[in-house]
Amino acid sequence: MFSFLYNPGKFFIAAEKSHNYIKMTAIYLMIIGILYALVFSPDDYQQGFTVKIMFIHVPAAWLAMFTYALMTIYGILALSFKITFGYIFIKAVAPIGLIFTLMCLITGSIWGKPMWGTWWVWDARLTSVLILGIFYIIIMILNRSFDDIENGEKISTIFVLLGSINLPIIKFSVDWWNTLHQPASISKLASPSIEISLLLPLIVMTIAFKVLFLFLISLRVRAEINIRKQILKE
Amino acid sequence: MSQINKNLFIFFKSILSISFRDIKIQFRNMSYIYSIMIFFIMIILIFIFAIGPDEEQLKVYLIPILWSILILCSCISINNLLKDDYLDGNFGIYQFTGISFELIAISKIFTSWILYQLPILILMPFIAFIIEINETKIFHLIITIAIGSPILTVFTLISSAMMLTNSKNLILGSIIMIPLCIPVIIFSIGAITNDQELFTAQINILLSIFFASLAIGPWVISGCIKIALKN
Repeated sequence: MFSFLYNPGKFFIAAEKSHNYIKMTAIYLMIIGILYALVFSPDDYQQGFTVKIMFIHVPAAWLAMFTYALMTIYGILALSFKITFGYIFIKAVAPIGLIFTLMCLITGSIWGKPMWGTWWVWDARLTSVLILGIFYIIIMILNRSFDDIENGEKISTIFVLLGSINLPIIKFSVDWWNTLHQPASISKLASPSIEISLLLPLIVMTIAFKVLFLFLISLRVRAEINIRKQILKE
Repeated sequence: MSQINKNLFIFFKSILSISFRDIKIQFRNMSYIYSIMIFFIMIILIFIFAIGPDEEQLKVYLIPILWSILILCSCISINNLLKDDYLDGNFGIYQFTGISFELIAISKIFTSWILYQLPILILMPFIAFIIEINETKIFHLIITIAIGSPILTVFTLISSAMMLTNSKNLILGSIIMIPLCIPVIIFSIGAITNDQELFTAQINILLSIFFASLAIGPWVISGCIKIALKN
């Protein structure tokens, strides 16, 4: 039943079938989420209108980390169970993760200028996210700079596994060090310290970003599978 | 029991002979080791010219600079560590000896620490003496380098094993290695420059990174060598 998650052929068919549904869901959820966030949610009593940046910044940051976690899972699958779909997935998904990381960094620095007074601080959270972006770039370079494609994808997968140490560092950096970045205010399970009128549009935007991410994955993985088919034909 | 002892003896003997062979090859022509030491001193000179001869500023900046130069010195030896053995077919022969590549990787860590990091560690007290930082800081600097340089060796070996089949993009090895070194430099500089109370805590974290890299490193290195040997 779940074989489309690791079988390239079945993934291709499933992605082709669900293409239109995912696209329309992503568009509608984006429109609803942006309207809800920009128009129908109140301003923050301290930050004013700049709090609206949160609705892009937080989902992008979550997705930047989620992409790397997915790549790590597929890397373990690829190296230990010889599932070649893992290599295809990592090669296709690394640029998406890079884009989300850049989005998170840029919106964060735009938000930081009015709130903290600086565009950039060498803070634990900010630096570790920057390193995450550098890791995505290194994975992309590693995939492209070997004569033998198979070697390149195996070695970039090993690098993905090595770099996954960074994920817990990003998550807990606000707790371990004294940082300018605020600690987590949503994932406290018992009592989230965010107002419910701001939390609801954030949840809608997060789901919209997740669906957009699924859409991008299905596009890029299908393109990668097509490229490999072409290489095999030649 | 005696059979196991005999096997262990053969096993250590074979690892030691591999290490001695590598050391012998490098000692036939010492120029590479000398050039790494000269490179180290030259970059310190460049930094001193850049900062200026003001003693107060030198005392603040030179310890972080020494550590960064140590990382740079490890980077320049990346393409030299495993590639010779790969190109002249030694790894292909090791495949038939029955010794696993993890153990060869351990012997490689040992030899490349002795060849490329130990000279710098020996050089370090003299350099610190010239710079005139106070004695406890020199002591801390030498301790952190003694713990930290094996970690750097493991990282250089990982990236050089990754770069075995890559012949066109030689700078990629150091690009892989430098992000992995960030925690090492954070905690070692923290141990030197912070207060005395925090010293043992930071050294403990550094030691934990050391043991973790010794445990994981050989495994990763041997995996990369096996990937390179497949074709």
